[in-house]
Amino acid sequence: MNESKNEEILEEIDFDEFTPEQVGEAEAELTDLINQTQDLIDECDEFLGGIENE
Amino acid sequence: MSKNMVEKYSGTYLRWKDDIKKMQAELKSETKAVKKAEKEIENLNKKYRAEKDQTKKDAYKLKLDDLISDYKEKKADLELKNEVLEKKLGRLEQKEQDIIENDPDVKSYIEYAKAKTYDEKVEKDKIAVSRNNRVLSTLNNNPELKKIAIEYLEKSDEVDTLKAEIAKLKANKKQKTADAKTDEDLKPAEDKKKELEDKIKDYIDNLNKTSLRPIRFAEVMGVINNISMVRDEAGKLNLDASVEQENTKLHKNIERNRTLLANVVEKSYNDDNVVLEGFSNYTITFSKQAPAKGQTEEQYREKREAEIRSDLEAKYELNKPVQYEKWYSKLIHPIKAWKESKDIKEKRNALEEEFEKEAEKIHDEFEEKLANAAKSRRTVTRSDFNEYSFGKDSKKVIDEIIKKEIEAEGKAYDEQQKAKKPENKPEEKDEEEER
Repeated sequence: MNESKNEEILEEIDFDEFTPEQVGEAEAELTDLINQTQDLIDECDEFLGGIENE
Repeated sequence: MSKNMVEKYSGTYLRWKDDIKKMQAELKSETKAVKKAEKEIENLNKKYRAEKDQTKKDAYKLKLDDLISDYKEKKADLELKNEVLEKKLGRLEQKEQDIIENDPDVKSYIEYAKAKTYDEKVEKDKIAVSRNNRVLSTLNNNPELKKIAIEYLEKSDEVDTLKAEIAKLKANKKQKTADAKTDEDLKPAEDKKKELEDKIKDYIDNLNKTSLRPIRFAEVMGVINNISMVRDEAGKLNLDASVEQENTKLHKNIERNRTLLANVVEKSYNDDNVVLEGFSNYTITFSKQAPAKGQTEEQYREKREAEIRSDLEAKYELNKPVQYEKWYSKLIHPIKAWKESKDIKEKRNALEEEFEKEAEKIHDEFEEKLANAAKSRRTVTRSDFNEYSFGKDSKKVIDEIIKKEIEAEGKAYDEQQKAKKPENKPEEKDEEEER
């Protein structure tokens, strides 16, 4: 993954221009994305644990 | 007010929406890559364990270590990515706090927006699962249709790759048979074939898993990705209610199978009032909820369209295209402290009038778009109506303009005072006027 690319994408966005409703929406969407990524990381841990136990 | 002005101010938000979509797509492909790597590791691990020859075993071990190390890297990348996202979330939360500090009343509205976004997502997943189940039950109740689905899936892109591998293996097998090698040498080809068969079986068996996301379902069914094309085809073929009688070659015609399948899927998806009644000898019969007594087909269709339309309106709150009243009071308050001269008030009124006209125009366009969507029974997504969420931003535009006007007026006033040398106290006078 390219960290700077991710930084770049979000850095460009000026949240100051968001209305309160948009801030709420964006927070919900970003939280969902973080949760999904975390789920995938947890699955990776589980898989690695299984392989290492074998 | 020009539409450009509106777009300029809502551009950042639309860009954010694009970015989040991109990030979601990235996560999807990363998930795919992780799953692929897991499969590779599992397969190699099996081989490694079964291998008796120590030299080969060592070679497998080396490769296995490499794969696991790559996998760990993938995981580390994901962790890094989440850290970046967390940072951004922190920035958004800070922004939320700033807004609330500035105006505590807005808090409930932000909470409402959050809850609404979550609810929409949950609702979408729920709809997808229920649709998947409906299609699955259709497939399970119709073995012939299920067979067609499997035949179709065999032709899908993902399986194509596997099939190419099998062809390669078969070629090897031929060569090896010619070389009179042992059964052991033929095993990989057999294994691969079994893998393909299992995979296809899995596709069908897993259709009702609740974790199946719409996009996954689309991948599985293949046809949904091309649903718009299929709809056109169905129209051309007049497949709305039924398809033609038995055609013995039909099952060999993958394109036609796809259309048949898509037709069933589309019906199951899009119209609660249409149920699949039978499927035999490649004839699909749908029954439609009959028009009420004394109601013509045309009246029924109009009623149904109106229902779909009203569902959409309710779902996306589109019956309130301009909700600016509420927002006006929120956005205007930072500049309420400014003194507004009669001219400024007039200017504001003029701008608002102009805005209303623009809103009305866009509302008409929106109405037309919605009507067309309801007519074609196309699935309408929130993004289709992004441009209609301009109301709030337009008020911001008005406020910006007014603010500039007030500043200009203030400046002119100051200059005028400087030139005149004030004789009375204009501030007090203004305050009196305000009261």
